[in-house]
Amino acid sequence: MKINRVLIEDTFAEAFPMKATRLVITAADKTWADNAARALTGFATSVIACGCEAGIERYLKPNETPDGRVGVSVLLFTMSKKELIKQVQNRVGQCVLTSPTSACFAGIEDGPEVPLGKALRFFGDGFQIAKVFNGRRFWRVPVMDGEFLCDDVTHITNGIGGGNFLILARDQQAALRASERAIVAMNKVPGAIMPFPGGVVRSGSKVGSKYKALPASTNHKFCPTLRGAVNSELDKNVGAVLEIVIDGVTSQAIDEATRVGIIAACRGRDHGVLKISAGNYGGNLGPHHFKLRQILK
Amino acid sequence: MRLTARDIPPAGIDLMPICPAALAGLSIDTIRKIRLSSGAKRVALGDVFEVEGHCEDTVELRRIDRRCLRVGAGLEQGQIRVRGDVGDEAGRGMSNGVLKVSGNAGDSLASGLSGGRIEIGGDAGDHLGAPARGQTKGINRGVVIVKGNVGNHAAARMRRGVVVIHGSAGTYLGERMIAGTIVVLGSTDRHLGTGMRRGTFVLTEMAKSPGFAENGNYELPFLKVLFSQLENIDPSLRKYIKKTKTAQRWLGDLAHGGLGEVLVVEKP
Repeated sequence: MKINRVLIEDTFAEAFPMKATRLVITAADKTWADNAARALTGFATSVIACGCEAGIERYLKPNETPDGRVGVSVLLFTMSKKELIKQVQNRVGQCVLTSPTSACFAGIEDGPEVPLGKALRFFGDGFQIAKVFNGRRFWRVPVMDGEFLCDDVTHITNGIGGGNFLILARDQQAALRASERAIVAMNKVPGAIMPFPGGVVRSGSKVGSKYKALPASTNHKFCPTLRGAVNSELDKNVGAVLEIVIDGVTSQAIDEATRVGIIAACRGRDHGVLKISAGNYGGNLGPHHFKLRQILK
Repeated sequence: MRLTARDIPPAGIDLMPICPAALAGLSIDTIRKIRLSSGAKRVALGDVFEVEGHCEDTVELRRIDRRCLRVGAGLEQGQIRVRGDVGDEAGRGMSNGVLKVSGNAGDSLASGLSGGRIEIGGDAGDHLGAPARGQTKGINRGVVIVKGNVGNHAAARMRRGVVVIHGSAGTYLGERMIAGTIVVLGSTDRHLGTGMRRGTFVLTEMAKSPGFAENGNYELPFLKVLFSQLENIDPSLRKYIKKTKTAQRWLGDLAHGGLGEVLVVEKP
C-alpha cells in the first residue's frame, strides 16, 4: 500500500490498556487556561518515568464549559487507578489550583471516582465551601485572587496507551516537517493525545536494556547512525525516523488519529517521507493492535 | 387517577395515605374504602372524594383546600398534582417524586424533605422546610419552589437542597442553616440567616442583618455554575435573575463561623 508514493508497511502498533481521565480547566482567558493546562500536562510524556502520560485534547469555547469561560480539555493516562489518583491530585494541586483565575471540572461523568476537590479542598483550611446541585458537588476554595472552583471528583475510564506510527524520512528536516503536519491534523481528533514534546518523539524505545536498571532503551533497529552495525530496519536512504505516540480514550480515537496523521505526513510534493511503519513487540505484550493498512483502507 | 373532593370534614383530613405507590394496582372500590383520619375520627376515602380512573404514576386532587393536611407526605415516587390549596405539612418527609400545587400551602410545607420536588403556585405558610416536630434537621436534599410569598422561619436548619421563593420571605429565613441554597426574588425580613453556619442565599436585595459583614463585589466562576444549575431547577428564573459575572457578597453569621454567604444579584 502506498499513499502519495510513501510505502505503508504491513505492520501494526501495539498498545496497552491504561486508566484515563479527562479534566476541563477554565480560566479568565485562553492564555491563562493554556498556562494551567500546559503546567498540568508538563513532564508527562511517558509512564516509564513521569508517572503519567498527559496532553491537551482540545480548546473549549465558553459554551462548552461549566462556568462559561474559555477552557482546555486535558487527558491523563496511567497504568493503574492508584497512580491516576496520585497524579491527578499532585498535578491539579500544584499546577491548576496555583494558576491565576483557574477552575477545574470533571470531563468524564461515569466510572470509578478520582478525588479532585475532595482532596484539594483541604487547602482551604476550613474556609472551603461545598455546593451540591443534582448530586454533583462543587468545592469553592478561597485563594488570593478570589476562589478556586473545582468538581468534587472526576471519573476513570478505560483508555489505551501506546498507539504509534513511525515516519521514516530521507533526512531530519523531512521527518520533522512531516511530523508537524501530522500533529496539526491529529490535534483535531477528540479523545486522543500525543503526549511527547510537540507530539513527536525521537527516542523511540524497545523494552529492556543491556543495563539491568533500565526498563527501556533506544530502539536500535530504527537508529540510522547504527545502520551497518546492527540488524537495522532501515534501508540506506533513510536518514531520520520520528515516532508519534498516541493515547486515546477509545480505540476509535486512536484509529482516527493514526489515519489523519499518516495522511497528513505523506501530504505534499517533495515531502521526503519514504516509509510509514509502527512499533510493536511481536504482538505478545499489548492486547490492542492498530494495523496501519487496515486503518488507512 | 383523579380524586375530586365532595365533602371535606370541618376538622380537616389527613391525606398522607393518598400517594401513587399505595394506590397503584388497587380497584376503585378498594380505594374508596381506604380509611382516612379526620381529627379523632376515621372516614372512608369514598365519603370525601369522588374517585375516577386508575392510578399509574400520578394522582390528581381537585377542589381541596387548607383542611387537607399532609398532602404528599412521605411521597417516595410518582406525582401528586393538586388543583386548589393544601393544608399544613404538605410534602412532609418526602424523599422522591413530585408534588405540584396550583394554590397555596399551609405551615410546615416540606418539613423533613429529603428528596423530590415540590412546587407551590401560591403562598406558603410558616416553617417551610423547617425540621418536623421532634426532629432537629431541616431540608436535606430536594427542591422547593414557591411562586408566592412564604412565612417566617422558612428553611430553618436546612442542610442540602434548593429553595426558590419568587415572592418575599418572612423573618428568620434560613435560621441555623448548615448548607444548601435559598433564592428569594422578593424581599426578606429581619433575622435573615441567624445562626447560619454555611449555605448560600441568592437575593435581589440585602436586608441588613447584624450577623453579616459586607465582603465586596467579586467576579466568581461559581456564579455561572450557580445560575445554570438554578435554571435547570427552575427555568423561570431565567427571566428574573441577570446572569452577571460579579455579585455583591455578604458573609455570616459571623457569630457562627461566618462561612454562610449572601449573593446579591441583579434583576434584568
